[in-house]
Amino acid sequence: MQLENSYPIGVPFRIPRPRGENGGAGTAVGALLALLFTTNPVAVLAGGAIGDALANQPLPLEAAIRSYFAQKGLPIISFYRLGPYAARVLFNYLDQYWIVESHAPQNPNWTPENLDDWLYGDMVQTLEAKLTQINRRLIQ
Amino acid sequence: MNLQEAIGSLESAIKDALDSSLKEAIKALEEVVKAALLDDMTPLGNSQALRLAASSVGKGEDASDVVVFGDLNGLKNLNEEFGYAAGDAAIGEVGKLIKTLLVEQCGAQAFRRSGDEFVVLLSSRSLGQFKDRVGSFASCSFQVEEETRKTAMSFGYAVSSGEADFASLIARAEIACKLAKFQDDESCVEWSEEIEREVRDSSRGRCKSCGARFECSMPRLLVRERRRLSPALK
Repeated sequence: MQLENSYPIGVPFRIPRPRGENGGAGTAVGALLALLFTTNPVAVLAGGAIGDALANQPLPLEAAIRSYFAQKGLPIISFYRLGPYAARVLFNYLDQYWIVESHAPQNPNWTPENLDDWLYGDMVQTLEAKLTQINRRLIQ
Repeated sequence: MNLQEAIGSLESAIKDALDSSLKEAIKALEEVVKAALLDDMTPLGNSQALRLAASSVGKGEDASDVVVFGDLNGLKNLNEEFGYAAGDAAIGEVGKLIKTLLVEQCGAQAFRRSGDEFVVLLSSRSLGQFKDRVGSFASCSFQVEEETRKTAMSFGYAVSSGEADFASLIARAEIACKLAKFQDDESCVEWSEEIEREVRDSSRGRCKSCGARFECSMPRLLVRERRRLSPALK
C-alpha cells in the first residue's frame, strides 16, 4: 500500500496507523476487537497486539492512539474527536495532566481513512515533541 | 516419505498451529473480559464491574457491607471555567486518589459508575480507615498543562444490616452524599433513619420542630432523587 502517496498533494507525510500483515479471518476478528477497544486503555494493548497480528485493517483512530499511548505507559484520560479534521488527547504524565492536539490541513482530497492515518501520525509526532518539552522542563 | 507419512505430518502441523492459535485466542479473550470491566478514565472498575460486585454486597462474612457513594463538587463550574479537559482531569485525579487511599489502603473495591459518580464497596471493619482518609478528598489539587486546578469530593455511605439490598443501600448513600455537599464541616455523611426522617419532614415543606416553612428547595430535590433511584424507599 503506497500510504506515502495516499495523502493529498501538498500535505506533509505522517506515519499512518499500524497495519497487520495477515488477512483472511483475522480481519473480521481484528475489526471486532478494535470496536470493543475504543475506550479502554488496557484493552487497547491487547487490541493493538491482536489487531496487528490478525487483521490487515488499521485500528480506528481512537483505538490506534490509545494503543500507542498505552505502549508508552501514558494513561489517556480522554480522547476528543474535534470534528473530522482534528483530535485532542488528555493524558497523565509525571503526575500532571497534559493535552496534545492534532489538526489536519484543510484539503478537499482527504478520505476518512487517510485523514485518520494522518491524524494518528501527527499525534504521535506531536506527543514525542511534547514529552521532550515536558522532560526538559520538569526533569532536567 | 510416503503418502501416509505426508498426511500424518500435515495433520500434526495443522494440529500444532490450531493449538497455538487457540491458546492465543483464549489468552486474548481473557484480556478482553478483564478489560471490559475497567473504567476508561480512571484506574477503577466501570459500571459493569459494579453490577457484578453489587450482587455480593451484604452477603457473607467477607463480603462488603458498606456502600459509599461519592461525587465531585462543582464539576460543572470546572468544565465551564477551564474546559472539559480540566473536568476530565479532575475525574482522573480523584480516581487515582480513590485507588491509592481506598482500594490499596482500605482494601475497598471502587468503581466509576458514570460521569463524576463513584461507588466504593468496603467492609464495615475498614470503615474507620475509610473515615480517616476521607479528609484527603476535601481539597484535591492537580495540574493541567502546569496550571493548578482544584476539586473536591463529598461522600455518603450506608451500612447494610442485612435487610436492605444493594439498590436501597446505594440510594441511601446517594442521599447522604447530597446532604454532605451542603455541610461545611464534613465531606462524608452516614445515612441514618434520622436523615431519612429529615428528608421526609422537609419534603412536607415544614420544620418538624417549629412548623416553619422551609425556603430551601434542596430537600424536595433529594426526595425526588431518592424516588427516582429507589422506588422501594418511597
